[in-house]
Formats: sequence, C-alpha cells, structure tokens
Amino acid sequence: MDNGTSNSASENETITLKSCDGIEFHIDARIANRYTLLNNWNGGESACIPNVNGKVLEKVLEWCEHHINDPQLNCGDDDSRRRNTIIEEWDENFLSCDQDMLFEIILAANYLEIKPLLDLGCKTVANMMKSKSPEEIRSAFNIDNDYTPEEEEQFRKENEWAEDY
Amino acid sequence: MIPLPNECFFKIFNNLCDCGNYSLLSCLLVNRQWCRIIVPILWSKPNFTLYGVINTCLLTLNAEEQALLIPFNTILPDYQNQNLLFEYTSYVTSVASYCLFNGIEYWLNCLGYEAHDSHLEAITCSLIAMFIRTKILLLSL
Repeated sequence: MDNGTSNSASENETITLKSCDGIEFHIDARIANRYTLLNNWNGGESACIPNVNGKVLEKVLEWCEHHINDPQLNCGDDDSRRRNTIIEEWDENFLSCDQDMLFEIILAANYLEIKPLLDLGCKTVANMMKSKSPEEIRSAFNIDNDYTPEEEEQFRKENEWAEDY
Repeated sequence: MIPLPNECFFKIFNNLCDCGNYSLLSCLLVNRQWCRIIVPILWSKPNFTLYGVINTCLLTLNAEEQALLIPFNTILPDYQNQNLLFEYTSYVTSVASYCLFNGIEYWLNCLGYEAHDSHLEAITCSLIAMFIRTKILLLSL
C-alpha cells in the first residue's frame, strides 16, 4: 500500500481513506465492502478516520489487502477460528513488528471492527504470554505490579488449583 | 505497554484457555486489572476434582451451609483468616455432580479424614446448597 499515488487493482473501483494525521490511502473498494466501518469513511476529502494514524492504517490496510480473497466468516465460525492457535506464516511475519505497533494494530482493528485481524493480534499477544511466570510477563510487557505482597500471595493461594490443570 | 480496552484483554486471555490454566494463572498474578478480567474466565469452568477448587468453594459457604458440617468436626480451610478476595463461585457456569463427588472425596483424603459416606454427603449437601443459593447450574444431579 503506498500513500495514495496508485493502487494495485486499477480495474477495480477504489475508495479513499484518510488517517487522523491526514495521510490518504486509495484502496480496493472490495476491502471496504468486507469491513463496513471502513466504508463509512469513504471519499475522505475532509473525513478522517479518528484515532488511527497513517503508519498504523497503512499496516492495517496491508493486512486487509493480503486477505482480500479470504472466505468471509459467519458469526458461528468465529469461535473455531479464534480457538485455532495456528497462525499462518504470512500473518506471523506481518505481526513480527515492535510491540507498540502490535498493540496499535489491535487497537485499530478493534476500533475499525476488523475482527479477523483483531483475533490474530490477540492470538499473537497470547502466544507471547504462554508458559511465562508473572514476573516474566511483567518484564516482557513493561507492566507495574500493583499488588501488595500479601494480596498477591492470597490470590496465588485462592487460585493455586490452576497450576495443576 | 500501550493500554488496551478490557474487551481486547478478554480476547487475549481467552486464547490462553486452551493451553492449560498455568498461563492464565500467571496473567492473573500480573496486576489487579488483569486479575479482574481473568477471574471470571478461570472460574467459569473450574475442575471440581481438584483439591484447591473444593477448598475455595468451601470458603464460600454461609453460616447455615456450614452448620451441616458441624456433626463431622470438619475443619474448613483458612487462608490467613481473611475473606476471599473474590466471590469466585459466582462465576461458575455449571457443576457436574460426578466431578463434585470425586473432588470432595479427594479433598477428604488429602486432609486425612476417613471417607465415611455420611461425611461425604454432608459436604456435598452444603456445597449444593451454596450453588443453589448462588444460582449455579447443576448438571446431572
């Protein structure tokens, strides 16, 4: 996806989206048709997508473009897709970005209601937490511990059954 | 870390359900915000055959339910003389009776009680009374 100078599917209809910092993207209209919220900002002379900057929107649209021919999921399929822990190689590479960008993508996918990308981002973060101790997770995600030591110990005791299960 | 809305964390943690509860427990112990999101997930389907689940459930009994256990001198678990930090059983969505019976039997064994049927029944009745009070769905009773 480049910043509005061309698009890869010239025979197709295109729409224009503008990020909150004013960067325009001309995208295949089929992308917007799949994700109705994107369609709402079509034609953006003045309409900008609030909360999503150009850098993040570019990544989100890159993902949408790559998955333009994926089968659309019904609501009932949602759970099985979410529970499938396998992430295909392209997606894995796509989300091997820095942690801030990964979270920005999750935020944008949530905001723009691009569910498969949201699920993928959440799955990726979950994989980063797997089999780690609380301290390792805090340090991996730079999170402060706001428990008192007594409180943490009590929570551990009340939920210790989960360690064996 | 860029703050995410709780609904995103909920999705993230749900992905951890399939790989055992160890990772979920680790996340629960990270901070208070995560704890509030994870407790309902972790306790929606606890394994009632485990000692710790029965232990925590017994701490939820009210005075009336505890009274059923008086004839057996059952010493209830005690976490530093404090109340539970959450009303964990309020998140349980269903209880299968065979798991519950196995769990109670195991709990009694762990604490060295001789497994008399009447003692087993009394604990079962007290827990079922609590589940009914807290409106948990009881399966196959």
